[in-house]
Amino acid sequence: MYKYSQKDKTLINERVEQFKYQVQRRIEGKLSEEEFKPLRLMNGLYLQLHAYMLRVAIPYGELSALQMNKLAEISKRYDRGYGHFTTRQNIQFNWPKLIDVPDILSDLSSVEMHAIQTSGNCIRNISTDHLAGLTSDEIEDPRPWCEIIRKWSTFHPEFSFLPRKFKIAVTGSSADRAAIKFHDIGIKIVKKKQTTGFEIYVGGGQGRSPFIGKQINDFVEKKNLLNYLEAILTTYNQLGRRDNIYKARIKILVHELGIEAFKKHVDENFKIFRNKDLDLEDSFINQTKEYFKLPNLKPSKEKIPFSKDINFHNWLMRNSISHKVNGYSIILISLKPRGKPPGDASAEQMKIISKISEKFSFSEIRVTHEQNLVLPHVKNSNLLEVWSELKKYNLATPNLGLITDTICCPGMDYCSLATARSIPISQKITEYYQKFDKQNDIGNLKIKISGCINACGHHHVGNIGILGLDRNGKESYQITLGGSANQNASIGKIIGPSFPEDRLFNAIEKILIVYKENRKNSNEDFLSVFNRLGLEPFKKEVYDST
Amino acid sequence: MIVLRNDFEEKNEFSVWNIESNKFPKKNEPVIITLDFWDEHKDEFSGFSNIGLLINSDQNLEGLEADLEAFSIIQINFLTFKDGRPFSIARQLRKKFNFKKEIRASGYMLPDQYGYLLRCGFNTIEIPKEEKDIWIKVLSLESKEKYQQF
Repeated sequence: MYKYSQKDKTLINERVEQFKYQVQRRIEGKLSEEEFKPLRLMNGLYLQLHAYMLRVAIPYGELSALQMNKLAEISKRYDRGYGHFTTRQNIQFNWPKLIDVPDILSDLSSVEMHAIQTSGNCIRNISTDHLAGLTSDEIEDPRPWCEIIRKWSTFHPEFSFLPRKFKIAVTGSSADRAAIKFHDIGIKIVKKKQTTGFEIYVGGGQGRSPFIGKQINDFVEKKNLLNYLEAILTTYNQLGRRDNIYKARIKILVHELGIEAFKKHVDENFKIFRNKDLDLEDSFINQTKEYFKLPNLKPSKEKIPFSKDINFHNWLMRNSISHKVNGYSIILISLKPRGKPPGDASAEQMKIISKISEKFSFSEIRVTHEQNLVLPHVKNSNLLEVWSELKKYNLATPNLGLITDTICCPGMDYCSLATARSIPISQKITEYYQKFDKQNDIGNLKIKISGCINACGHHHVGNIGILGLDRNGKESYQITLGGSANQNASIGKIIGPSFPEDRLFNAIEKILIVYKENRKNSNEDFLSVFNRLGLEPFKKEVYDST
Repeated sequence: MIVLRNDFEEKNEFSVWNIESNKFPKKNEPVIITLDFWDEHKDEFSGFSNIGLLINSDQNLEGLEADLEAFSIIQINFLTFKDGRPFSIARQLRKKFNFKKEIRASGYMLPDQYGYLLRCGFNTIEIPKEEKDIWIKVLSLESKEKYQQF
């Protein structure tokens, strides 16, 4: 895990002081709300439907036990005793008071945390594969690269007032668990003739006009990464649209110019602006890699303890993944128990996760973009104990990757942009499919729910996507099928007219019936069946008989 | 309005030329002219030694490369503080065109952008006199540490 250097500490502490002065000027009326907005956003502070919301950065989703414990304390002292883990691998507090925010930032900085890069029209927190460094299917651990990009992009003088927010994701594995093709820039570590470098995608994104990122370069050399990113960003900063907020993302620029013309600008800027200071030396890369070494794991033939409890076996089946070091497992903690908003964790749960990670997982925790948590290195012999502990706190729901493991935005319960509620939809799904056998029979299926067309709940890439709309003052839900955020990225197709809430669940049930009747065997998952059959049979079943 | 260079107030040598006056600047008069005026009267400025160019944040340097030598100062005017293009324009002037003379920022900016302006290659800013103390205070809170090499 990365430890902060003196420079990081100084910068964060000074940031708190700068923000205090900004809050003071706002209170004295020397800054208008319009002027204060980008400044508070740069410190993670949003204004939502009912209150301010503070989004805290968890760079590339990695947390220490100490940090998790601090988040628990903050949620108790300044909020309502819970926090919300987001699809950007961050955490949000939904009820802080403006006057407390500088103190919260001070508390965060005491454990090397902050709210920088979590909002505003700048380069946002870098996201990555939540299994980075843990599996044998990767070319290289992407986290050191995330860290290198984090430093370069933090408070970047040229790129802090971009046309719109800018998101970068990195993956080191061919199985894309970081949804790189749905980011402004997606970076994939690749190997060409024994040399490691990067495949770069640009212009992906969701929101009201979803696009799959297009490949702009099939091999950028390691040392050139930052210069190449800078060439993309300077092109975007100069040419990106500023006349319409809905057309300001880089995906629109790439779409309107065409990838070839966009690439020409980037290549030219790369050639002209190539800055020797930004070239990455091997010594620097290796030094950064040092921080991400795995803890001292000893390969062994450790067995998983025996238990008669079927729930333990179900949990192992769904929530554990083999670690690349024999004798260890990667454990996924589901934040999608029955009846709770996806991604929420109470102060008590955060505290216990902190303790468990300290005792059983080298004090390391990760946040996934699907709003769950990871204990990265648990010894097999400890699995039964870890499970029983988690179970006591409602943290052992065996549903990873299943229908009740939904992604969902805050929706109309919190967000001022929302046109419909999304949390209650997710809760009803978890309620209806709560029985393990029922959901396990359906198998791998990603349901993603957004409460408006801004798509924070990633509905475009849900195998089943649900979009909440406002139809003449009534909430109405549109279903898309076949979306996927993995290496075979695809945008879901709209099945037909939207449904009022009471008919939505019936429609989902019918979609699942078509799936079950058509699958070749229980291993053929929903997405494969959909890709084989297309939209029609689902559409027919849903609309002809409703 | 005053001109600040770092935390010092500086005498403003240049004034922005009022094109409404229907007159033409004198040869050594230190004036800043708009991009449109320059495009129209470029040839008439031959031999002038003390002119500056004013561009707005929604304009760019395209086609100006050969002209840059003629200017003693380039002033980039922010139409709004949200428009971050001047940061790229200034860096382009320094890095791509190797422009060594003064670059000044004016228009609707926030004091909190001061550090970024200086690092992107601006030398001076033009601001309302009453904001001077805030700009200097914000600059003093700027970190001495930085992640980027400029």
